Amino acid sequence: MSATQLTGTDRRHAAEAPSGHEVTVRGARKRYGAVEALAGVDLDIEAGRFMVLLGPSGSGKSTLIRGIAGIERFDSGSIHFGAVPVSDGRRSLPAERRDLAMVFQDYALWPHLTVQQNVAYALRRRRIAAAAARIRVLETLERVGLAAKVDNYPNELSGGQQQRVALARALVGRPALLLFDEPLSNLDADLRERLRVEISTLTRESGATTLYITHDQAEAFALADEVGVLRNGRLEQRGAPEEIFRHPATPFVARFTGLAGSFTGHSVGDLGGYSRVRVGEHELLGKTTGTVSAGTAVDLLIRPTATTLHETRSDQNDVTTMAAIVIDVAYRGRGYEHVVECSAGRLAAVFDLRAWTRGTRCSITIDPDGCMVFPSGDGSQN
Amino acid sequence: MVQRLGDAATRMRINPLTFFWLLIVAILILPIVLFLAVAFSPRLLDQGPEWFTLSAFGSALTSHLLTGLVNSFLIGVSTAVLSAVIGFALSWIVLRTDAPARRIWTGVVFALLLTPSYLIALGWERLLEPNGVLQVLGVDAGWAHRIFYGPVGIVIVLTVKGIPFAYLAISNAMRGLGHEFEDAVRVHGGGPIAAMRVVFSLLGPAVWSALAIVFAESVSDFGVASTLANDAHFSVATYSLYNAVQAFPVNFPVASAVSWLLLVLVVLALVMQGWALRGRSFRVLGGRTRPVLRHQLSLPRKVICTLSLGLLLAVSLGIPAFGAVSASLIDGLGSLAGTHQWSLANYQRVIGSPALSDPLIYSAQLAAICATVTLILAVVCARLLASKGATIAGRILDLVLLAAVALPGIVFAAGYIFAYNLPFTNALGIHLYGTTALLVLAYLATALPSTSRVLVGTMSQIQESMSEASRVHGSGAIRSWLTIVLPVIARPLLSAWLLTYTATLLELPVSQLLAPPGYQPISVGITNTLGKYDFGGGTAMEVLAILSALVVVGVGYLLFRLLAPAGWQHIGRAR
Amino acid sequence: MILNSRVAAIGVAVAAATLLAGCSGSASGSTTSTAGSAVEPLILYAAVGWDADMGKAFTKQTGIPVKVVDDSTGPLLTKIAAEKNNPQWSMLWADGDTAFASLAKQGQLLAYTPAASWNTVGQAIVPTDHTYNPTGTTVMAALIYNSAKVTSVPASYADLLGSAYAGKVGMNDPSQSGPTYPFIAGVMNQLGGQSGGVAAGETYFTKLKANGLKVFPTNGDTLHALETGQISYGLIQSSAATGETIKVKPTADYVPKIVYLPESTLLPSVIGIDKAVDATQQAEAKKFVDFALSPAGQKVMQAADASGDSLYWPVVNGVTALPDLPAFPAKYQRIDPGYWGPLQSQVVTWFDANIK
Repeated sequence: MSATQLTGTDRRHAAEAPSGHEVTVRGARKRYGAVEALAGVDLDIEAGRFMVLLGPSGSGKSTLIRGIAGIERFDSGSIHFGAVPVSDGRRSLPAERRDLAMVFQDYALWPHLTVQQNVAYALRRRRIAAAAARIRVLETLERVGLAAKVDNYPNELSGGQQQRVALARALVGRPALLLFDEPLSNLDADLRERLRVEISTLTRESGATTLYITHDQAEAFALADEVGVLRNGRLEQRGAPEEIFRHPATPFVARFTGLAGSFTGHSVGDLGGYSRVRVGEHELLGKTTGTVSAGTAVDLLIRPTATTLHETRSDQNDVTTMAAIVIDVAYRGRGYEHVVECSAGRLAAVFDLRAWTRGTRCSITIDPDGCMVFPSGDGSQN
Repeated sequence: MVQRLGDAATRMRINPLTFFWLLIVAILILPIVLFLAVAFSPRLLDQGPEWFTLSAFGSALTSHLLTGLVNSFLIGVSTAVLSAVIGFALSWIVLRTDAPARRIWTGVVFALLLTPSYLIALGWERLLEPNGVLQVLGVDAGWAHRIFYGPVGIVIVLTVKGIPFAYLAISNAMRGLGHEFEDAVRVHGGGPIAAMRVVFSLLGPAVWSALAIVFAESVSDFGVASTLANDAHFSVATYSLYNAVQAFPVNFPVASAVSWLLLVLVVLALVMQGWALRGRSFRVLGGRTRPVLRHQLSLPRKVICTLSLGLLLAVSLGIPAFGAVSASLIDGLGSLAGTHQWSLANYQRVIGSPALSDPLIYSAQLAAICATVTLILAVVCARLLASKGATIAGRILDLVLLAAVALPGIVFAAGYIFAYNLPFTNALGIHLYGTTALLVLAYLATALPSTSRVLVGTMSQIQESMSEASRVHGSGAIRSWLTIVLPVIARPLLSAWLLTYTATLLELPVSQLLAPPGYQPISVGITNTLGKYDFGGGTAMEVLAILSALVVVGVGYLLFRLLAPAGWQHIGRAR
Repeated sequence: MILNSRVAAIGVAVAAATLLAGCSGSASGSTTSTAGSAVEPLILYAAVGWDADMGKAFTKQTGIPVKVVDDSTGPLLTKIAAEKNNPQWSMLWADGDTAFASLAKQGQLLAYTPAASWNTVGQAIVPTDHTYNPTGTTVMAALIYNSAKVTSVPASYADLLGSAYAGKVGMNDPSQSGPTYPFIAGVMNQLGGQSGGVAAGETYFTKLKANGLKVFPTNGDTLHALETGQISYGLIQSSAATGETIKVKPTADYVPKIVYLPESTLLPSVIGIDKAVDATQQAEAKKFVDFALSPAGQKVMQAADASGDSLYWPVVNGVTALPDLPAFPAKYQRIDPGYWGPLQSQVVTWFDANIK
């Protein structure tokens, strides 16, 4: 956007350095009949940060984002945007007065309005002169690559184009909070990736605080400044993507953020932040958060990145190397992912640059830094 | 930018729908409940000496009535199914194919709605009777006469009356249904018929709405059945009811007992509907809906289509039009066999007469007010009926609305007198009975069930996220509704308004019992004229009233075409 | 639901506002009564062809406004029954005295003896307690026949059972035609009397059906069947029959003529006053009854519908019937409404099940 094009009104808005809401949620609870969707969630998002809430369906993430949007009300709990109370148990600021925008899973475009009208709708509350508004709408549509479709109706566009309109509609008003409700789940892989990048760059340019929900951990790690994992209406863990990946607080978080597989065994003692785990005749190392007393039955959760395939070395008597057989191989472009079976169980997504044919006998070694040890039966079967 | 919570209006402590329910109680539940109470407690409303008795049921439950109940049920089911099938086929042809002459059908449907069953029956009579038109033309119509004057004829006439409801409910919903569902069937190997079946089940709420309303209308009919089943010994449940109300002394307790039994039939219909729609979602109307492609019909199919539509047109409108012509354009009692003269004398006589113009203007005003208010309430009702899952409120509303239809108009109106002519309300200075206001309320209650049901299909299709998106992007509840929901449902709303207007204009039983002294609704005027054996004048008035309503319908759609924004008209348009 | 319930509430409020705004105009006219003044409007429930004209004529003569609810007898009686705990009518004017007898029995009618001098027929109809008064009478049934097609003319009801009339006689359906129950009751009364009840009459109608009796909904339908040759003899109300002979020009195929079979059952037009109205209205209503029986009032009644309801025979001296009417049938009977009225529902149901 060139400065010369800005009108007076527009400039004033631009001058308000677009600063996002700082979002604070305390004790959010919501029940639908017998189902407890939110069981007391606390959530803080710093102004301008991109937060992704990750969770399986039924974890309460939709309820949480809809509550923050003002489309639904929590049974109890409070929401503050900065110092401003937005909702408490009794009163609730309606959605239209929260200065936010949202992209819906089903796009929620309005069928009776053209693309341009759909986007311009979100500018109404800004009270911008018509000519300036039009410029801003066209600019935004250009940013999402839809300059040629301004006069089409939504049902004349493809799915990806429709979701771009929804994105433009959310961005055009430069809201202080942007909400995304699984916006990519209805799109195919290629479009998903391209649109993800657009969401990532455009939202960060806008300076708004962003809350994005998804059940796809790859999407979450790719987009987020910070990830929160929701489970059964509770926030299980939050932190930077790397933190979540490397140090999952619970077996659930570990499983939900991607495992090659898991073995069961029992602890035979600690070793400076690691636990020694006997699995069959093998002894493997895994990170542990606390102390696991010897003899405790444990699960060893293994990240795909922790596995390495080798030729069978039958002469070696290394307890950390396990004999395995290749069950399946999948080409992934930059290499191959394998499913291998060993005596302790099956591991998937075992990467190697070359392909191992199905049925090949091999050895597999496991990097202790990619393994997490949790006591068994931690109520965490995913 | 965020406004403080303190500014925001404190949320209403009472449910905002409370007022709506109060109105529903006042205009529907109270009159119905009071009427039904008379069966047990005649003394309550001075209709007998007992405070509590079951004797009314004893008098009502005769074998005659039980046969009648079974007959009514069968008539109701056949009529409902036939109307729904024809209404669906008609919607499909009009909206999904390039069949010729499909555009006239919206007009035809409104004409059907307006056509009094008296004219339909009269048309058939003049055609089939001994020395009637067919016989004069040398066709022996005796067999057709025997068939028509029995259950078959009743079903035909009631189906013709039911088609408009089925068509409006189903076509409104079909407009909102994109093409992708049909495409999905076709790519998975289904033929056109399979595609049609999928569309049919996706339109579930609309189809069941149509079935239920036509069923209830048919069950409450007495006029058609009594005219056409004269020779056939075919009695319906309403016979006992009319006999109790029309004879003197009027026996309301027995009529009330029969009403209970009619309600049982309605509950049956609702149970069937609930069972069929259980837990399914039909939300398909939104921005992602794909535009519809019209099927290009092959020539033989076009011919078949045109012939079927022509046949339907002839049966449904041609015959009553013929009845009207024979009665209003021909002197005397309208026999075509004699040497009667054709003339416009009846029309000349009627057009200038204040006996036509004053009642017509009066009724038109009331119909317009009623249609407007009904529309607003019907949208609320349809929303409640369409809401996901069966809420208690939705079920009660459904039952009350259908009960109002299933109770014949005359007992419904009597319930109004019971409810609004109570001595103690008069003592409080409230005099509603005998005012135009009460008449309008009763019209409202009469029109609400069918109008709501016509809108259920549409309302159950609206995706919630559309108005949520509007709220999130800065519009308040009211503006969201006006800028997002209203445009999306504008055309069904217009249809519903016109439906209510036309249905109210010629409403008879409520008009008869509740019209204020000194004012005469057009339907009462027509009936009185017919009752004084002025068939020509009465029918001429009737034809003119129908034409006036058709003009309103035409103007309504024309204005929509001219004034509605392009986007509003874009919804449901086929390419 | 948060989002839309408020819209719904506002919608309902708008609906209520529209309703009130729309109705206040028309409603105000009917609710502003002249409270406190000496004159109150009379509410006349009427199902007679001259009711509107009579209302105007009476107002012109006396200055008392009359609001007419002009409808068929059935709905009017339904209204009156439904209003029973709080009557809103001042007078009822309709054909047939059975309903009036029933109203009188329930104590709803005000006794009034007008100054009129009754003729012989009138004296036969007027009840001893004067709870209602006749204003004219028709009879049930007139036998109208097409003299261009048939030559035999019956002289009694029994004649209609003969082979000459097989398949040629039609009548109305009592469940749809108001004047037809008095006819059936009349035949039953004539054959069985109040002591014999309905049995003899039922036998007669069963035989009539066996001889090919056809039943049509109302007077008009029976006349239409006569015109089109479906029947040659129709049993209908005398005013409708006389009206037909006036309206239809005779042709080679159709020359309607009328005979009255003994005995003709009186079917009077009757007016009654609501006992529940206040003294002012009672006094006004009495004036109205006097006016209806006066020569001036009778003139209005005879002018209103010269080919229909006005074709009645007067019940007061000094008034002559319209010239189109024949002399009053020599043999006539009045059936006791107190006896036959309560039997209506039973007889109509029997007729529906066995004769129709």
